Amino acid sequence: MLGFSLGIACGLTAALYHGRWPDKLFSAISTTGVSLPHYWCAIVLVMFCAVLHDWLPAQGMGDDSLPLYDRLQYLVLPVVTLSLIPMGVIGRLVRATVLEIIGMEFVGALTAKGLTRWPVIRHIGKNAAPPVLALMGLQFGYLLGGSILVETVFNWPGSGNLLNLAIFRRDIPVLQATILVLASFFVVLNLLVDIAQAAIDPRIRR
Amino acid sequence: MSDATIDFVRRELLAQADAPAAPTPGYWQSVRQRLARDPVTIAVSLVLLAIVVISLGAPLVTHYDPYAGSVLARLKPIGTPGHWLGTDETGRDLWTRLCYGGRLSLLAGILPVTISLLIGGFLGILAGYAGGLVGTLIMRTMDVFYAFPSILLAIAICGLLGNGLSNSILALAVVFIPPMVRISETVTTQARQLDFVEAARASGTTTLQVIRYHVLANVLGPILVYATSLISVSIILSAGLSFLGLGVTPPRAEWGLMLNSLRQAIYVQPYVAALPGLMIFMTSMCFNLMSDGVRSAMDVKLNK
Repeated sequence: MLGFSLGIACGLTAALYHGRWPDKLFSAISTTGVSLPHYWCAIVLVMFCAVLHDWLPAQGMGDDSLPLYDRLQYLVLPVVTLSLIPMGVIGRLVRATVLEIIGMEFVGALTAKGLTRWPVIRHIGKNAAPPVLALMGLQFGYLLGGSILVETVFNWPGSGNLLNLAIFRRDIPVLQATILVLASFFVVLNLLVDIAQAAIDPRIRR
Repeated sequence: MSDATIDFVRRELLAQADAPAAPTPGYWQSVRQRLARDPVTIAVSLVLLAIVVISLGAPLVTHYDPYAGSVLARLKPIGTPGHWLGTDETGRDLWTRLCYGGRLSLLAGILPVTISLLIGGFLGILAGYAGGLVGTLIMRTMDVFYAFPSILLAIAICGLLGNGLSNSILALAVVFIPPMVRISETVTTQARQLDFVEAARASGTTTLQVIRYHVLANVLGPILVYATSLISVSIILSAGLSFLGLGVTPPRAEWGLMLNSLRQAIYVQPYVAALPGLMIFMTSMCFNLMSDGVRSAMDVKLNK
């Protein structure tokens, strides 16, 4: 979620300031996000925040007995790591889509009609939503699978870790089951995305 | 009309008659010109070239054996005399391992994309050009693969086949075929509806020739650009597979594998441990930026 909202913000700002420095800056951030191997990023974050500075815990999920605040600290690094990639991917898509829409005639017409900046942006947002939503669904699936690498680094007892263990123990039934569950999550999610798209965009409902 | 005007009109008409031969080289020429004016793309391509050259010429830039360790020289920091990037957990020179590792990492990144480009491109063009039953059959089969998130599919195939470089390449190729098919199908469907393709068909050109001259010329560009952007994903994924222990087997040098074996050392030598990942990051970033540069240079709409 962090990644999605940051990505949308990045892409939108970049497109609105097309060609000027915010565009360059946010495009650079997005491209970095796309090319980061997240397992490496996780290691670097652990190295920086936990080993060199001792700000945050390096691994694990913390004890159940710990107060909520302490347990949230265990969440920070994995969440940041996992949100970087969707941020990059979505940032790039939002930028491309919004640029395309800004080039359309109705945006010029709205501006000519005297609408101020924010209502125009709202109109653009409505039109840019469907492809972005579709990609979000895909990215979510990617995260389901991608968390296997990050869970390995942070030693989290999640589905990714289970998958990893199953592979190394040649435990084919567990492997099949985990992948089946994750893939069905993915399918259901994409179905939800399709329904949401139809709700937003009447053109798809036909 | 004066003689000058007639002369002018005649010259214009002659120029127009000559024109049909010109557009194709003109387009690629302008693409090349735009690329030459793009400093980022040029810089990035040079970095990539450097990485490739260093990996291929690894024995020339380093005199260490990538497999020969030394118990005494384990986990030396960056800047140690003799080992300027330090050593890994069994005392092997890291610079040497990085150079040799580039070979496998680049191979494992580029080969799957090439395979899927050939197979996926062929299937996609077939589906797009033939349409109808054949098209539906191919596209629906690909949709089945789309039901799995890409990493998960790669891990599943690798997990079932067992580890090894060839298996991880195979797994990634399978993962990349569906998007490749989809892209080439979309572009081919668009190209098929262009007027000159219709004209060529109407004038009795055989299907094979239409595909070879007209469709391929319009389709290859976008597909290749997409393929270069896939290479960066492919490098990250293949290194990720060996990071999990599914790809290249030790003691061979590969960036993902090195990252995993150095992971335990981050409390001792944090900077050394981060280096293989930095290489993966840099390579994939360069491929991304290069593909962006080529894409915007080839986009006629953006460059009016």
